[in-house]
Amino acid sequence: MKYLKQAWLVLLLAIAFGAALAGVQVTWGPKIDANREQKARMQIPGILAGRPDLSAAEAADALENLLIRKLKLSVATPGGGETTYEVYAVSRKGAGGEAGWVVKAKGSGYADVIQLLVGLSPDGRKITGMAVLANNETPGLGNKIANAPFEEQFAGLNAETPVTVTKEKPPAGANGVQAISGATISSEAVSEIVNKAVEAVRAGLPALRKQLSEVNADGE
Amino acid sequence: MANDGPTPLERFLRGIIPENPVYRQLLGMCPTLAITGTMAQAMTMSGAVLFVLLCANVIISLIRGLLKPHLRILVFTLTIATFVTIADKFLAAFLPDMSEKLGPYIPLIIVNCIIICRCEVCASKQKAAAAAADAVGQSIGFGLALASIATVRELLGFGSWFGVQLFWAEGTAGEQYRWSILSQPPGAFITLGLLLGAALWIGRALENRKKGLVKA
Amino acid sequence: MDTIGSLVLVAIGAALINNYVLHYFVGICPFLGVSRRVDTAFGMGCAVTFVISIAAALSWMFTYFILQPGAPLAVAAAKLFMTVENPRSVDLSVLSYIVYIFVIASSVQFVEMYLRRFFPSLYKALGVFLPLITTNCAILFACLYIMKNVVGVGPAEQWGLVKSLVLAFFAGIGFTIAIVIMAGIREELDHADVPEPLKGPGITLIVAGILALAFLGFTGMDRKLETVFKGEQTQTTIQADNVSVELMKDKK
Repeated sequence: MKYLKQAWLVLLLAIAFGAALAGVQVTWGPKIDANREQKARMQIPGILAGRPDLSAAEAADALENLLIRKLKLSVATPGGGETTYEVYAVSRKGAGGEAGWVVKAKGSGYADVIQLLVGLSPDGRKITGMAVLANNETPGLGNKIANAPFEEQFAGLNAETPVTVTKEKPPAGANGVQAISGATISSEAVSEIVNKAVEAVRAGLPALRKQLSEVNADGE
Repeated sequence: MANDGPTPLERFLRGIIPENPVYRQLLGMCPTLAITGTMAQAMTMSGAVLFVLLCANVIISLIRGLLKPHLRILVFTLTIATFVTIADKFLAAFLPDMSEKLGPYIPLIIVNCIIICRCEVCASKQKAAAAAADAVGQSIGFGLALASIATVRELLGFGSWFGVQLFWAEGTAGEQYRWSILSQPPGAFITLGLLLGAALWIGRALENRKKGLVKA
Repeated sequence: MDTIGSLVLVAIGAALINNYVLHYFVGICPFLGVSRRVDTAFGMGCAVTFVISIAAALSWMFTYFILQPGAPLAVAAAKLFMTVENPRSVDLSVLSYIVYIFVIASSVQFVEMYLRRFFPSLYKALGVFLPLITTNCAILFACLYIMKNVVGVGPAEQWGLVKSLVLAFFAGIGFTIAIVIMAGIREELDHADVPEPLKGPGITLIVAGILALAFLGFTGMDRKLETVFKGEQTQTTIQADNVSVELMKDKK
């Protein structure tokens, strides 16, 4: 009881601060979640058009005409275990029609985890673009994977065969990208992540389409 | 309550250089090394520290009469943790990119020795005005210290300052001259070590000069 | 169940590749303060390892069962007062930092009592630095790292108690390795001719920088180890029927 008498201040403060924090959570919580989502969504128009240098204004404009549904794709990996991907099913408003699929994927890079978005054409046969969301690669070397020159190499590649990484410029017709000089491992890590994600989405296309039509049937 | 001790103005001025938290008191080393890669990160961190230190100091000062000796660290910690959470959520809501870059180092302000030390030494003993002035002074000192390190690391590591590219731009021939080791952990340690040595050397030289003048 | 391989990767990552002192810059204050002699440094390292493991285990339990969005105990308690349609809307994670710092303070108290009882000489040698372990950034950093891998992560990739404990324990081991190496070097530095302004923290930081350079050599080790454990990444085709899709509801 003696401790309770002495601790009344601590308890009072705890309640007061708890209330303050609850207020913070209620006011800013939704904005924080929206920020996270927005960061990925702003990239979608650029990825589907194969233009990593799309400006924020142009992207915002394009987003107005797009209807985006977020789906969770769970894939059983060989060797037991399961990987989940967030797939954005993008279609055009009004006349409708699929605009493509954008999948958020992550994997281990040279230094830490790399997070990226890969865009696929509606039929899943072409890669429309790639954008790196987050990376902790070596500044000046590995972190060039987030720059436009590297990202735009992925636009227009074939999704039916894996993407390869070469030190020299890949010959025309080869499904490959050129590694960043001095950052081979980071470049290879990116292509690995892209290949796995593309494979998963292509395998899941029927299921994705089915879920999408169900959702659309339920009403916008 | 008796208000012995330095006046608010004295507290404010002391915090900037004479009792600089990093160079003199050697407190708050963790953020000093972690987020001084660029000026933008360093200034955001000092802004966060200013907010937390100011609020914590003022609140602690207002309730200083009610603090029991063995529970006061608990009260300090609770107050600081609350304001750090608020600062963290604020950054996540309004400066999401910066929040990601600073990552786990914002919540680490909770265990930043600077803040607990100021609460203990100043806020729990003086009126709110002095505590507030102390908070602002110490934060400015901290900010200056961070700025000194971040300037060196960003200028020589990236060739930019506050994000503005000054030289050694990417894609030009100058890019190879960047000291990219400075933007990585070893560079942080070595920069701080050398700057600390320089600060001590300058401090001693000034002291000796003052002594020399007084003797003559 | 986490595979042994993933646990080994986490352990090596925490101890060597992303060494808490030399890569993440946490735990610098005791690193500079207690690294004078090898035996005190080793004792400090062990104490920190002890505290970080206890604190991580406790904070994982708090996070998993009470703090995360949709946490079982929190949802059960909420159901007593109101109807809960979406379990994920019960989100106490805003209290995380406060809970963690209290968990850490309590763990330090516990370890203090334990050391005073069973290792009194170490207790005396560490002196005032023992309660200061509460302000050791490394412990809070480990708790935050675990929180990052538990809150807001899908159940398939969420970290369990074992993985979190492994991370915390080996982070402490990494801290011990760094502080003992530094103590050994500083014992030698006492006999060297260090310039006056650099004596003390200055030269320690520079030596730490060189140590960090050395530890940079561990980068990328985890990628190779991953292939060792999982075998070379062959492009096996995923069967179309091993796939499931569901709609993600936006948290309005």
